[in-house]
Amino acid sequence: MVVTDEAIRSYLASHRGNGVVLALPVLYPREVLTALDLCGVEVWAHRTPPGCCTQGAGSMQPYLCPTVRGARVLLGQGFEGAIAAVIPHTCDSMQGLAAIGLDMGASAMPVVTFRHPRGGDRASAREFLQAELRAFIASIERIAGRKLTMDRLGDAIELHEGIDRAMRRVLRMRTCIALGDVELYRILRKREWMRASDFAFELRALEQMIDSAATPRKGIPLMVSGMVPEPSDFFEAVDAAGAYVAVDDYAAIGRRLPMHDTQEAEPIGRLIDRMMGAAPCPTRTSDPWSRVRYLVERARAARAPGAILHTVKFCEPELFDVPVLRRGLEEAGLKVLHIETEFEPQMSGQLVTRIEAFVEMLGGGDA
Amino acid sequence: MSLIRRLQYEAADRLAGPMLGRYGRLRALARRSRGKRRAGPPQLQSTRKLKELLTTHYLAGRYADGAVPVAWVTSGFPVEILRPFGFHVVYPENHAALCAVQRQGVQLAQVAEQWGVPRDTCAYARCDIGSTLAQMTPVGRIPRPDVLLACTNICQTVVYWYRTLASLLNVPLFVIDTPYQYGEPDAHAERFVARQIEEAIALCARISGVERDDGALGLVAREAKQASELWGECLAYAKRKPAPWSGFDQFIHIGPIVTLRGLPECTAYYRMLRDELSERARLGIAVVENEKHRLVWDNLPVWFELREMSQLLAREGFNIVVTTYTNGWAETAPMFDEHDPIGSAARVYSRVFINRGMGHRTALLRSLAKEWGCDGVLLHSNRSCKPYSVGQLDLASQLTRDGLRTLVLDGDHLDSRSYSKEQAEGRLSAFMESFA
Ligand code: SF4
Ligand code: SF4
Repeated sequence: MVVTDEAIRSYLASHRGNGVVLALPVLYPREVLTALDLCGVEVWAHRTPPGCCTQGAGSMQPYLCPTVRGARVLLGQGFEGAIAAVIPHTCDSMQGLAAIGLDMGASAMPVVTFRHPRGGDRASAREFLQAELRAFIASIERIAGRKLTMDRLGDAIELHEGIDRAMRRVLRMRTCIALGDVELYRILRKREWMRASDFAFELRALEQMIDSAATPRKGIPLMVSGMVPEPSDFFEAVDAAGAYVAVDDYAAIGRRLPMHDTQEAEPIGRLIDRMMGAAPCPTRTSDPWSRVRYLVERARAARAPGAILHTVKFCEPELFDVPVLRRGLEEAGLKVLHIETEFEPQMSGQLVTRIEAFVEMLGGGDA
Repeated sequence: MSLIRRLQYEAADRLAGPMLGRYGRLRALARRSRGKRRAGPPQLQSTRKLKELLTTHYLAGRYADGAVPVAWVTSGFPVEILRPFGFHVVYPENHAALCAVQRQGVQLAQVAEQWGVPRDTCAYARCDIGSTLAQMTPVGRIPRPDVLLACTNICQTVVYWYRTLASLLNVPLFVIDTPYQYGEPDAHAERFVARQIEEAIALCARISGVERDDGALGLVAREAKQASELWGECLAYAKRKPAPWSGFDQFIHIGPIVTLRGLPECTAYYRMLRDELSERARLGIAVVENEKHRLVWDNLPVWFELREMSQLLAREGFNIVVTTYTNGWAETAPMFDEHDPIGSAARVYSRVFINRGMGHRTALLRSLAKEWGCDGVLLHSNRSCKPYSVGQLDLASQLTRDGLRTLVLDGDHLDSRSYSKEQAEGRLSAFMESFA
């Protein structure tokens, strides 16, 4: 789903009034945007016209990931009247993009940065995160011309916690939902651009489809770990091969969910807990072995015999984890397939064949 | 720690290393008396001392584990805090650069690739992971670390790299996170860095069994400040026209300020180099005969092509006189404060130029070009190093608008498979012609 999707544009056309904020991957305090009544539209995959990122002034080298190259184009062009762009410190390339946006006149809108502490959950990191959150809030308040109250922030956190709980439930019970992956993900990914309250409504409808008495889904359950399910016909390829996504560890979807509800009462503390408590992710420099343990546990719970590591071309954070993940998952008895995509309009025939062969090896291929 | 091991380590450090260095010096003298002299100005005398220092460092390293605590650290880690605890310090980046200069980098990187590290990652990391996996190194042996210490001020990549090492070697990793400074340095980020430095000191005390000594930390900060300032003075000699040394020389002589910062031998070395450069400047010795154009270099060098590239440029009267990379170790040095070793280290290490926004980098390039009297800038678009390379195309456009000639040169600091020699030389030649 690239951002040119008509669905997004028409949704924004009727919600632009309160203000749209462009948000780049991965983790940022979206609760703050909700509390300020802003519509955060996330851009994970913007397909750039051929050649536009390799030539001419003000462009990006071709060895940078397509997420950053695509986002650069959107920053420059402006996006659906967005009043600001939120750029979290996800990786070196994203940090560079923010720096270009801030200082090189490359952004048609104000850029607001958000830095995660790297190096683990420790007291000093939490203290930094608190100051960073306050600075983030102050910047957004200034741009939106609105004041955030702690009550509103508390309500927004409540809303997002509810969404996270429902998302976790849907992903856990996905075999009991009579929807294919294509349709399921079409709904789940609406979180990237809908207001939280609207998305909560959609999610409720999805939850109502959970039927624990239903006949379990046919096909080989797979675990998928990566940044974002693009190109979107990835699910079609998995489905055609006779498999389905039983465990989602996409940074855009399942991996961003906090693993537990927070016990904190004070809103800023709750935000910190939620960020620190998100599933292990290399963009926040989580230890790859803790990622292995987390993934193995989830794969076992879903009885998934295989995992697809779906990385984005040139994405260093993900690529560095591949050898450890592969070893750790294989030691735990899972078969592993590593594929790489670059937001091409469609999966290549070669990739589709590799997925087919992988599923066949796992004992599927008859669906 | 074993006593015998300690004796071996001290012997290598105090006797064998310097002796080997002197032996190298004698061989060089003999070669010279046999008339085997390279073309161009005489080699800097300090180069021999440099070799002696680095030979001693690597030789002692062979016996370090079991003798003294050993840490592997990133180039931007506040190494000063380790000195009072008696750590032997290994710099994987410096080692990888050495592998690249000796054209062994790709072979080692391939070991990591076969193990599963994809090629689209930093080649320093691949080379070092390969060296660790294969236990292969041109320096004989690298001591096993007791701890890995990484600082994010150069990139986030080092965390991935060091996490991989930590899992391969089964040793603890401590990360000092220096949040990127987009605009003006911010107090809450530097407070965070200072707290982490405190945490790192406590860890070092635990590993070494030596108590923290604030007086000693202050003395090391003073030593580091002196050495960095001397390094800055050395770099400044290239402002002379013609320049007595080049950016290519600087890439080689940067070794001690990276690996031995905070030690008296490092300070002594740069005093010697500074004096030699001063003498060269006094005598009007030029590193490039007929120096016509002076350039700034941005990004890491193409380590495996240093000589070829310097000769190509020199033939046409072009000299790289300053580089953002080598300047990095002089830029923040004045901020070291022996009376506040922790707080000042937090500032020094947070504000390194590669951890600063594009506004700072643009201003830095402009001022280097102006102060060193350059009329062009070579921006090495380094496939391996994303943090250094993102934004270079914008920088080039800005500097061109400022009236400087710019060339964005595709390459890689270590991986020769990502470097087309013909294409690079062709582009460099065309660039030089454009000055005519
Ligand atoms: S390199 Fe990876 S983490 Fe960074 S922006 Fe690109 S896809 Fe995202
Ligand atoms: S070469 Fe670049 S990416 Fe690699 S370790 Fe150095 S700064 Fe980081």
